[in-house]
Amino acid sequence: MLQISCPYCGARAEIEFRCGGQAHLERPGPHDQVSDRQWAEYLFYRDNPKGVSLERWVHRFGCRQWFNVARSTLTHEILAVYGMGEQPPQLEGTKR
Amino acid sequence: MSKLERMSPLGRGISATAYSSEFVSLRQQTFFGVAKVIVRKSDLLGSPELEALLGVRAPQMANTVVQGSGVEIAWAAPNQWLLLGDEAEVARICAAAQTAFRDETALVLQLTHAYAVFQIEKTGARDVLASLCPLDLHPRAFAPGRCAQSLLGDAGVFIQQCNEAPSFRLMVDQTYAGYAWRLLSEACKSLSSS
Amino acid sequence: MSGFRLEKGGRIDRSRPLSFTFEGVSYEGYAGDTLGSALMANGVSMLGRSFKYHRPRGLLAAGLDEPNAIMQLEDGAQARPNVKATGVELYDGLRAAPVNAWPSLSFDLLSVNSMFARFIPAAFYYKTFMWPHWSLFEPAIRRAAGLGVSPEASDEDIYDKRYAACDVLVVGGGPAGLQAAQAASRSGARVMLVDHDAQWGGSLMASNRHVGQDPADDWIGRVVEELRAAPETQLLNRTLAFGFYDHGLVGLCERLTDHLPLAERSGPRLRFWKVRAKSVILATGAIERPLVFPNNDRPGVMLAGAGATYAARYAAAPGRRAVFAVNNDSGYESAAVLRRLGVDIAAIADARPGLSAKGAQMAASGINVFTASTITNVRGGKKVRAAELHKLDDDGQAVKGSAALVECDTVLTSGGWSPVVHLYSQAGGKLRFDEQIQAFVPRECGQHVLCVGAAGGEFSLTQGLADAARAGAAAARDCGFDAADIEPATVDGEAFGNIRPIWQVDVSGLAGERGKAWLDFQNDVTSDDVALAIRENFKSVEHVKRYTTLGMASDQGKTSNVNGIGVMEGALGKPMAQVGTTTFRPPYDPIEIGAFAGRRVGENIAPLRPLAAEDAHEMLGARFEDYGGWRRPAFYAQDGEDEHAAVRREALAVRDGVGLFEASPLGKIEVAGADAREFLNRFYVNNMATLKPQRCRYGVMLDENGVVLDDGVLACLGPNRYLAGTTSGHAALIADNMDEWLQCEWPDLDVVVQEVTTNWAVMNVNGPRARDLLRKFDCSIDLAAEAFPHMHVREGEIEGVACRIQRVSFSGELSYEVAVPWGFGASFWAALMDAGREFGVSPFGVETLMALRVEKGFLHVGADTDGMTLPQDIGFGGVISRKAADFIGRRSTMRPDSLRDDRRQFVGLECLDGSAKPLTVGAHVLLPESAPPALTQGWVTSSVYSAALGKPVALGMVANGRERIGEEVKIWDRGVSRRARISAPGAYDPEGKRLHV
Ligand SMILES: [Zn+2]
Repeated sequence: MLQISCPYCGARAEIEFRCGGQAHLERPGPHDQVSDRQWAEYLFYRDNPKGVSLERWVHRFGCRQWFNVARSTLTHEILAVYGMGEQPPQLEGTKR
Repeated sequence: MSKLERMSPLGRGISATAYSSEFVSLRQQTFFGVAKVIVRKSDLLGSPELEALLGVRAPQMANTVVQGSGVEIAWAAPNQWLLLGDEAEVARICAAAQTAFRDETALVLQLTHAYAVFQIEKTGARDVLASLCPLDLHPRAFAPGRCAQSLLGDAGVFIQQCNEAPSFRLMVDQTYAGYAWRLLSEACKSLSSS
Repeated sequence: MSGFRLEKGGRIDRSRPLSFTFEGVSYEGYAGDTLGSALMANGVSMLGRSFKYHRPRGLLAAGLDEPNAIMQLEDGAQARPNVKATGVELYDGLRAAPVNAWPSLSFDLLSVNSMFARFIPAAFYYKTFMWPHWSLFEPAIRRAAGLGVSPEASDEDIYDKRYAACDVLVVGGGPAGLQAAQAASRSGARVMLVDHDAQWGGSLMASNRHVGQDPADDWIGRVVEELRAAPETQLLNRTLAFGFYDHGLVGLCERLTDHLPLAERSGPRLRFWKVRAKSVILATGAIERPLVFPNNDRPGVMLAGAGATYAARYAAAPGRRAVFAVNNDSGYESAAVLRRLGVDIAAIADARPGLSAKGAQMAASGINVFTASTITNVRGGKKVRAAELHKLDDDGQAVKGSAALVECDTVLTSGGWSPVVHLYSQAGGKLRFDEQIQAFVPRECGQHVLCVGAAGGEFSLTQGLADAARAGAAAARDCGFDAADIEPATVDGEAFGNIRPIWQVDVSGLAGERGKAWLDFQNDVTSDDVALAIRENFKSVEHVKRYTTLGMASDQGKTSNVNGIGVMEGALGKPMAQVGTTTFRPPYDPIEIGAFAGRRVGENIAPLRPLAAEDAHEMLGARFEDYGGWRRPAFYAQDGEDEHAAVRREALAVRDGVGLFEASPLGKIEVAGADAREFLNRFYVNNMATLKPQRCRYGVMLDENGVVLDDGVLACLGPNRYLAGTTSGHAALIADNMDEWLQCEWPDLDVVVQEVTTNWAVMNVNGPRARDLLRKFDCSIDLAAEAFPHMHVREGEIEGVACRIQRVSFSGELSYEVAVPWGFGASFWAALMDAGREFGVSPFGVETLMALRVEKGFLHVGADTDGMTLPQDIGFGGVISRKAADFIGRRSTMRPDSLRDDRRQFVGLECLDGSAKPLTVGAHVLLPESAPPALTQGWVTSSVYSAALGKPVALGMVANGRERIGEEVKIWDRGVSRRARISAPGAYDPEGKRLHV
């Protein structure tokens, strides 16, 4: 069970959170100008990194705020926590 | 036809609404006023109008509570606060805040009926909570004036430390009142027997 | 019958005799005994049968590393299968039985397996019982192989749970753990010290050592007292640290009552701790390795250190005459302990060529010490009669013709020691092979964890204590405490010396048939099995483990892991450092599932939420069901009615008069702000931009895949203020989704959202007399048809309390949903029932509501829809084409698959066979002439008997169904076919006249 630092509430147990999957997905639009391929990429295609994974989490049973997490899939170490809309910090092993 | 009667969340199904032992006491606090204020722009809560109403500026620091005039104001999320206290007082402030925020993007909602409120006290209170909640409530990590939202068993909970005795206020969704009561009272009994 | 009770000594309380039974025979032990030591003291040497071959087995070890003595304790609800006799504190009245013997230990019918041993090699079961399916063979094999028996009665015990946080967690209450905890504790840091033993002191308890000038006991007592007095330090004995997880989380299992007689137990039995530690110090000691030689599994062959522990700690001697076989100096110390306590040491075979200082000492005191020698066989079946010793040549091969046969009743071996690095490995720690001690030791770990003492590969106690003291202070400093280094204790009597690894005694040069040599006693894995696995090309250590089961299951390779890797070294011809080791898995020792379940049992598993008027429903005869986590009346049974009769009666009451339904769980989400309209328009398939204040509109919500997620009524309460209604089970989900979209995708929208579902109880007054009934109340809202039309919302007061009324209908009748603050809900329900008496008001349940909506052809998301249903499938194609703006899931409704013209569509299904029996939900829709197996055209999704229409009605999803209205189809249900016709949904009042009265 991870310990995750909510940017607002501080370090809390993983059970208070929900993971929302890969961060920094861009929703393509407008809808009538998006190709099937673009839409499929947005819906289904995900990175599967060995190393730094950028993912978004919500403090579901706390302040209900969403934020981004940079987590190592090798060690589960959380390398950074940053706000929605912010760019990920420069980390070794981050896929650009 | 008579006026409608009011029932507390533990009003049915639970025979006892208080438990007390040498180590811990637990009781339901009935008809405790709760309201939530959500604003889109944080400077709204700093408005002199509202500050006059609350008697204090709403806390900007996460997971803290301040005592206003008549009500306590607890941080719940960025730009979200809970007003806690006497039901009538909470209602009065709510009505005034609704008027004040009429033209703003804001929600001022009386949620008194949505919560069950418990008070747990004495030296064993931390151990009871630690059997149900992942928060670290050690005096070095938590203190009077602090609050947090977390889990009590599988239900969401708002926890506030009221004094150093220690005394904690717990608020859960009222539909989990019976569940929370079962968990808390059983944990209290386990504490006394071991 | 070789073990016996020593006349004095030990840490047992001879003034407190305890009686217990084993296999139905009564014995006596003392307080302070384990079940294992008490059995030994009673001379019971055969404690179990092995897993595969049912060979007789006795005690090998004295702690949780014991692989053989696996017991079933007690019976009924108290039954505990698969516990190690060495981990059970003896209590009065304890009843134990071996797990793996049938019909009894001494006459085990299945030991015939043993005669066919050469036919049951590694993976024998996998290879032999593959066809047609393993499950056919499994029951018989399980009986032959199985461990304990699951309790049949349900568990009556209470299991407690505790979250904890600390600065420094020290695992292991032996010398190093005590020393580390003392150093950390003095800084004022929050320290936890845990040990699975009831007593503190670890290896010192069975030794004769001094710490400084004092007997070890005095030092242990002083440190424990100091730690107990420290306000921020917590000591937990009988507490096993069984798992090391992410971010400093360590799982502990505290045994609160297992040491007490059954009648004296009260309160929780176990407490499961989840400790989040900033820094962890592992002082978990080391486990002695057995030597691997033919018949090394015979009862009476034990670990040397265990033999000493039984005698010194429990005053239980393993036998009267012992032969030792060692490859390092620690065995001499064990021999010295036993000799001091009166056990005759017949011989010591030391694999090392020269005589060590310890060996020389022993030889000088008159003991036969054979150097460059080892044990090559054990004589005796159920007990040891003699040990066969041979000289070893330089390559470690036993030399033919050098045999010495030594009579004895006990064989004690020491093949070196393996640090207990299980928790370290679980934490993600990497290990390295240490040539000096011939074992795997900690190398590096990403978590804040350090192994000290023997767990760190330091077998000198004095050095281990110095390391522990330093580690304890450093850990506290890492947590921000000003910890001073403390003066570590020193210990006399060092013993280990160098080691000669002989992973498997090589008897290939000797004459005569010898038995198998066992590596993993618990899983019955021999050195031959490992060799076979490697011959069959399973060359990775992880593959060998799984193929042979070496080091698997509850044992986790405690005594076998390093020996197994040593054998692999020989077979693979590459050094142990390169063979590597497997990853250790939690738990270190088995933990009862109850400990993990904790209080999450019975009604506390996924607790059901009650309605506001639950008591009233109960009194009215409600049959409650779980609907999306809510405990709601399915129907109200009157005078022994069944569901069918009750639903029929309730439905007619609604159609003909008025019914009352508690709809409190309906989701309610307040949405406000200048962009609320824009936001909601993006959230719903429907065009919500045109919704006016005081009006309601039905809407459908999709997920981003275009799949219908939920539906409900959106009410506009005022400019920029809305109340979004969701289905009962989806309120939290939709509120979560709104938060996610607002925070992650559309942070620029000027909107705030709050779920308020449980603040409002909702009573649905439903039926042609609904208005008449509500008019009995003092209400500020004008209910007249013109003043308050269908699909409108009003806010006001009823009987002096706030209320919100929506005129919406899921039944097709005049219907009001009246919301009052939840605490008034029960009283309001009672008042409605009271006032409704003159109109014949009938309460109705969820099943009746379902019948009413099926009659009307109203969709129920989750019943009529599934994970493939798009909005156009349920008739929203036109709504979409008229809406220009984007909404969640819109693009997915435009994929090629979404646009196929043979998609299944929502339609009605009319029975043509005249039967009153409703169609079966899930039955397939087929072409009239087709016979199964045939391609399905769709299926029945909802089906009821309509009392109002006097016939069954059904809804379904049928390929291209809307184009096929009027077409006859066959409804096929498990071989039975019925005739039906595709129709428009909504057989009752299709014009909807009854809604607008
Ligand atoms: Zn938070």
